[in-house]
Amino acid sequence: MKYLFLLTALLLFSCTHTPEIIVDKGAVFGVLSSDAHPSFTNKIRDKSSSADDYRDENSQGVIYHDNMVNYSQLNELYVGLVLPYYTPREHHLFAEPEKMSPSSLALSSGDMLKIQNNTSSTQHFFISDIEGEGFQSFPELQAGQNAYFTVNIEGNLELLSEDNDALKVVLFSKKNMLTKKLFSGQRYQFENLPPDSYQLIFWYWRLGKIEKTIRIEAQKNIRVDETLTVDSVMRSYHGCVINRTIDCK
Amino acid sequence: MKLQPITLLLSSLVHFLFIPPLLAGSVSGQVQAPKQVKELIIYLTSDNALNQNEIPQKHIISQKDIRFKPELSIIMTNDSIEWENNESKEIDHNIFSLSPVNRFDLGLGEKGSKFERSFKKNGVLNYYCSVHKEMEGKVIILPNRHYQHLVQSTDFKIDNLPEGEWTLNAVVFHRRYKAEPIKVTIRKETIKNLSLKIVKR
Repeated sequence: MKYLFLLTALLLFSCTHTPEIIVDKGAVFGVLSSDAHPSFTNKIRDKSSSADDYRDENSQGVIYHDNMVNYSQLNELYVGLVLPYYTPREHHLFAEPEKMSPSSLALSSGDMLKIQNNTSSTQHFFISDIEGEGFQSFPELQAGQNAYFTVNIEGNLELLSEDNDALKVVLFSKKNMLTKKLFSGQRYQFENLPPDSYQLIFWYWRLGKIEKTIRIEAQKNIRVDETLTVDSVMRSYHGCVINRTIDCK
Repeated sequence: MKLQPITLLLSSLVHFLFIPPLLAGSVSGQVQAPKQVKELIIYLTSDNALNQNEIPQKHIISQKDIRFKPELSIIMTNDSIEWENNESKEIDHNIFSLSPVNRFDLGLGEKGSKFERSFKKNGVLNYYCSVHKEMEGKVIILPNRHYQHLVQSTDFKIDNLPEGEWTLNAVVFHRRYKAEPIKVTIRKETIKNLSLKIVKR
């Protein structure tokens, strides 16, 4: 069984090929994952701890119950690259009677949302900054119709409906940010990039974001893997000391 | 005997600095809000820093049946919260927040564990358990205890207000709306029939 896992891991690693080399251009690629809190995973590994309900004796991994966040199965992780130039993109959202799909979205300000209203009533959507005063309202969208709306604000936002509390999408918006949606453990790549410094951002709505500055050089590919956990996101806040007594500025 | 005027002066100064302001008045009235606004917190703020004599309190939040109870806490700056894991079974919980007003990760707590943290800035804080997907809570941190939490209700009355210039405002839970703040001057009489308007942003 162990050899089967090893073989699978080797096959997966060999699939993580590097981007094609383009003259005068560079690329960044890697794998984005998410994981449970390190204290939790350490407890699972410690066989003397009282965590039998959560320990898979075969893989020594975590057994996720229905009421738990299954970090190995998350499928709305995002990676974003902030570019010096950017052409606005389009993102599709579906308003169902009890929820929005997808439930989170990373995008650039200036991008367009195409919202399909599959509910039985007219919706008045708006965007609100979770942490500040940023706000933007959209014209009404009648039942069964779709329409395009341009997002003009940046930050940690929520798309909400004035008429239905269940319709909510958590947004992360940043100017000139090209984004890719990934599932945990999936590979990403941004290629054909002129040599320069870039901001690379990894985000999951519940855990927050990790930002990195990367240097792209001509005819070179750089690999940046990242794992989003509560711990890694907290550490990414510069100068932040995490414990029970010291405030995190 | 020559020191007597100075003693009197110092005594008056001490009295001025340390005697709490008179609890003089109250405000009451109605919230004018559309039907979508079902829950809000009416609160008063003043530049006079009148909460300096208020003693910080400790609030308890229980982690029970894989929920934070209560899910909403309203506290004052410098108050603290103690999270207690009161699960009946061996269930671990984590408490973390990425809200700019106070970012923290309190680690993993077993059944019976207690974590405490104090809050020094006003604002709204959302926190989660990283283990369980339905576990989330909200803390509203206000500058004083002059507030009223309204759920499906529009009448408010806030008593025991010290004299001074105050602003009546509201935390509106429906984010399409905001309150139009009102300036009020508290003297010894009660101010009645105030109308706090909740309008679209």
